[in-house]
Amino acid sequence: MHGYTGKTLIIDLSSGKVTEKEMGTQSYFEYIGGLGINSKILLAEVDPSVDPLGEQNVLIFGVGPLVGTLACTANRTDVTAKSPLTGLLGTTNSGYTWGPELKFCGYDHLVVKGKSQSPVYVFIDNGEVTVLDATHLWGRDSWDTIRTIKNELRDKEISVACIGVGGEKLVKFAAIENGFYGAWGRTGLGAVMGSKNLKAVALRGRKDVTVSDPDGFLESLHEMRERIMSHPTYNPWRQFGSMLAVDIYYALGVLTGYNQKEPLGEDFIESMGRENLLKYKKKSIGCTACPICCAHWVEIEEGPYKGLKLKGIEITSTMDFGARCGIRNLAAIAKATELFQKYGIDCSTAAGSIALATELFQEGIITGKDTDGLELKWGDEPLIFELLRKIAHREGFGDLLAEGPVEMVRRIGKGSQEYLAQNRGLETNSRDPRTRWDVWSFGFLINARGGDHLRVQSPAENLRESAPEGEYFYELSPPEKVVARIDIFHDWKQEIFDFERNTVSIPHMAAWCQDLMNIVNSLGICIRPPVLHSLGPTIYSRLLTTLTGIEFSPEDVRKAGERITNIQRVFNFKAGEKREDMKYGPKFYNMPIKGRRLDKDKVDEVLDEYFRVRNWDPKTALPTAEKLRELNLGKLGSNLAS
Amino acid sequence: MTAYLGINPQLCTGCRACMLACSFTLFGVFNPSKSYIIIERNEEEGTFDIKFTSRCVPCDVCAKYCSHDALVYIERE
Repeated sequence: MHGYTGKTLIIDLSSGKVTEKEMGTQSYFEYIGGLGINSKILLAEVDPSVDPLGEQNVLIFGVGPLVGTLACTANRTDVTAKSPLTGLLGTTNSGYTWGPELKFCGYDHLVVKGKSQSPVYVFIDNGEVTVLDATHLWGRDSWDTIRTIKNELRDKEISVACIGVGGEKLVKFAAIENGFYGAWGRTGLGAVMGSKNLKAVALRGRKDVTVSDPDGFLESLHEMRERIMSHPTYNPWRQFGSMLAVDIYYALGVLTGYNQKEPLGEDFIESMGRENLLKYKKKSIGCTACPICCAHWVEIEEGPYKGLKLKGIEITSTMDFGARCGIRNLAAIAKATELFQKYGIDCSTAAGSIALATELFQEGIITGKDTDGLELKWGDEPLIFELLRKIAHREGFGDLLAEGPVEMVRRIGKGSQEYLAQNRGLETNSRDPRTRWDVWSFGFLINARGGDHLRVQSPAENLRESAPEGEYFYELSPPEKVVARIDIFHDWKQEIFDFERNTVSIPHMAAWCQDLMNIVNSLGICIRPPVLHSLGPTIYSRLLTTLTGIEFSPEDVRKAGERITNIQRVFNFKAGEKREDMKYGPKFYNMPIKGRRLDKDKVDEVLDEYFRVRNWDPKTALPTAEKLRELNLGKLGSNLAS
Repeated sequence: MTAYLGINPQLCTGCRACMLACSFTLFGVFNPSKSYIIIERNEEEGTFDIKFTSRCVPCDVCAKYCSHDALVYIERE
């Protein structure tokens, strides 16, 4: 087998049994790898109604076929389980070195089942698996854990995935840390790892990744590089990374802050805009095989955080703690990064809990009696850092925040649910659906993991202007000559774009790009714009065919993405998500921003049209029997809704 | 014609594309442990050391895939 290793490693922590399973070619053809195969395994192995923190949940790490090769950005690992935060399919994606190392160990997927009686960590040394005692690591932060493991195994190049205190304490949005500075952050899968008493997975591999057609693969690889490196976003991304988008979104007037309570003003962009990054950035850092290298090595040379050095300052943490919580100091974002990385908690939901609590405090719905006497204020850096500590340790008020915003309002009551700025359990990066309605905003309703912004993004965004207020079915298109360069099939382009009206059909584009992002997360490459905007199923099919020797047509690749979307929806339906649950947080319907709020009836009309595009039943949001048969998913049954 | 491999570790981002390209060129497989160029990571310092095994005969492959000019292949008459 080429490209793939063909092997899945299964570790049952209850029995201590370690086994390997061969994955057949048909599975790779139908689900590609990474997220796709993870989703297939989850649906097959986990009853969607199980307690996410119980022994029956399964934690799956998966890399795609391109991972381990020189294909641009081929370093991503998707981690999948039932989420303790949303109750839906949990999936979270991260790059750097861990994924390639799993491949060099001889595995495409690692499945962790059961629960160890005591804390352990797993060391996979070039295919040899050892389960080691981790009692001495329990209670340590992630950086200390990684250092200790590297010292114990006497190899600083070993790649380590681990949990911090947050995962041990079952914080509902605990992260799995990916080395010192990366994380599988979203949907709380660090808590699943903690529930299994699994502190870390350390990897060292020396096996080959082989190629079916080396000359053909190299040719496709060069085309991939050329497309990415000639894309207009390439050079700006090299300089600013994700911070590039802060100024773009601000200029569009779409950012809201303070728990998405009001539009952000000039003070935000002056202190948190991308140029501020350059005060701290010393150099670029890259994930494996990435020609962009969009991460920043930053050093803080003055002020209260003087001496802090790390890889960090991204748009996500800037929006989370800057926009959502009110910090106006990029150096403090670096400090927050150190803390949430060490504690092992997701920065977005941590900030979501803190921001919600702050708004509720200011509205008088909670008081100092609820907050351990803390007076919650916007932008109070020491206070926010103290709350992060309390969350990670589930100490006092932090125990409530550690449940995440949806559970917080359920427990608090007193009308607090009206302040919820989460969609289906997750928060976005403060690009607000009330201030700009587009594919991005609509995506919060259909993203399989809950309502964030990272799984439904258009490769053809118009970031210079927004559609008129009140328009729900369309967003504005980029110029036709720009669209001409984007790899979207002709028949799909005809449905998506209307160049006479300069519009993009939101339901059609949402379906296309949701499947596209499933493909990207299954190949094991990055979703950032120089990649997402410049590549599509055609080049992916060539890379896959020349690498693996399995014949993929562009339509086979697209269909795999669609198949993944469909099984993810089936999992979520079985986990209890009904059609009527596919909605925004109350704040977006009820509290206006700049006089605008979402019209639920109109939103639902777009959703119904999306279901029609998908050939899903609009009453249940489930694929029809015809659609299941078309995708070779007939075995999932025609009576799902009964 | 003389060829040199210019090396600037301060510009190295740690992406290791050079190691993957080296093993693929030499052995037709992707395997950093077979590469003649070695990037050692000092992860907590954000620095990288660039080393070569004794078998390395400088060619342009590693430099060709270095996107940040840490490795530059220079030819002179």
